[in-house]
Amino acid sequence: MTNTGDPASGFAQRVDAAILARAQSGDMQAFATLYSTFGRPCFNLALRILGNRALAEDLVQEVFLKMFSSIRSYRGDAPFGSWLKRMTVNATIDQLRSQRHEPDTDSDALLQQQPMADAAPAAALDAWSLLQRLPARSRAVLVLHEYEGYTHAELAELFGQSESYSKSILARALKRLHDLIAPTPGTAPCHPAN
Amino acid sequence: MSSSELNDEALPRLPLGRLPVVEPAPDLWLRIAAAQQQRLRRIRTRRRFGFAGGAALAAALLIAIGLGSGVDRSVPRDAIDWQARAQALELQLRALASNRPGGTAAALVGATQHELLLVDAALQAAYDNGSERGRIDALWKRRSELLGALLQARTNDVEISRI
Repeated sequence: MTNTGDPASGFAQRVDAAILARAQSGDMQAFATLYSTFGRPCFNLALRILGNRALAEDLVQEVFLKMFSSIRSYRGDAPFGSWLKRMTVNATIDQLRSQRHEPDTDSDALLQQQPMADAAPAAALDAWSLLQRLPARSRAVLVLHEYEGYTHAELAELFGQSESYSKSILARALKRLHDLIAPTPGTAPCHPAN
Repeated sequence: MSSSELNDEALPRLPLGRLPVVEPAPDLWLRIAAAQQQRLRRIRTRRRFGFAGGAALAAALLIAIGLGSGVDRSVPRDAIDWQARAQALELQLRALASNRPGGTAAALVGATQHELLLVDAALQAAYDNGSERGRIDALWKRRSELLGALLQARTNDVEISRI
């Protein structure tokens, strides 16, 4: 992963070793602390990819329950946030695989109902709205590559496909978004801000 | 799509702004914690029933082994209280203490009494060692049979057959 330290995602936050040790011994208070640190980034990552609040919350629950049962196997080889982020991404992709239909989501209405923790609402609405206009798998590739810093090699591994597949999906997604916003003149091209 | 189109450098640059950070439902942690507690309860229950089931199976096996060859399988184990029956027979024998058989019957009574002593010793050892209930019941049953044979010999003064 090229951008595991993405401060916007919140997965880069450090975890006290004592909290981890307590969580590994099954202390629910320590788990609550881990949730207060990583619950929001976990939820936002799932929400950005799945585009559905209920599905994202179910996924957060699934990820944390899995984390509770597997935290003893965490050896500290990678930062805890990266470990949890990997679990979240894997669970999200599994969820996408199990989806037969795209969730029917009114993304603009959904966004306006959400309490925002940061970001300028107008700009955020644009990015959010654009993302929600993509098919789920394209959205997943775009979010993971453009916002979470995954390389095509990593995406290929996550999706069980070739790098060409990942690049192709991303190119089509970006072209589609470009076509959507092309009529707007005078917009300075840029990469997504983290 | 050509390979040049797949290069990141060739991808269109988009004005994708910073995405909003959305707060999850305030009660999401409570739901997760409740689900975790429920899962832990299920695990504990499975372990408890698993242990109890294993213990019950082990006990059943030990009873079956303990009863072994000395048990009349046509009679349910709980149908006869062999200990009470043996004690009742002993009281009857004491009441007939003066009626002693003679001849061959006397020899067989002696052999039966000898076996009775062995059974008594085995019973004492079984209690001392905390043996399984099935083993003890089997010994009480054998003691009852021996006492019954002795009682019959003394009552009727007839030759008793080897049990």
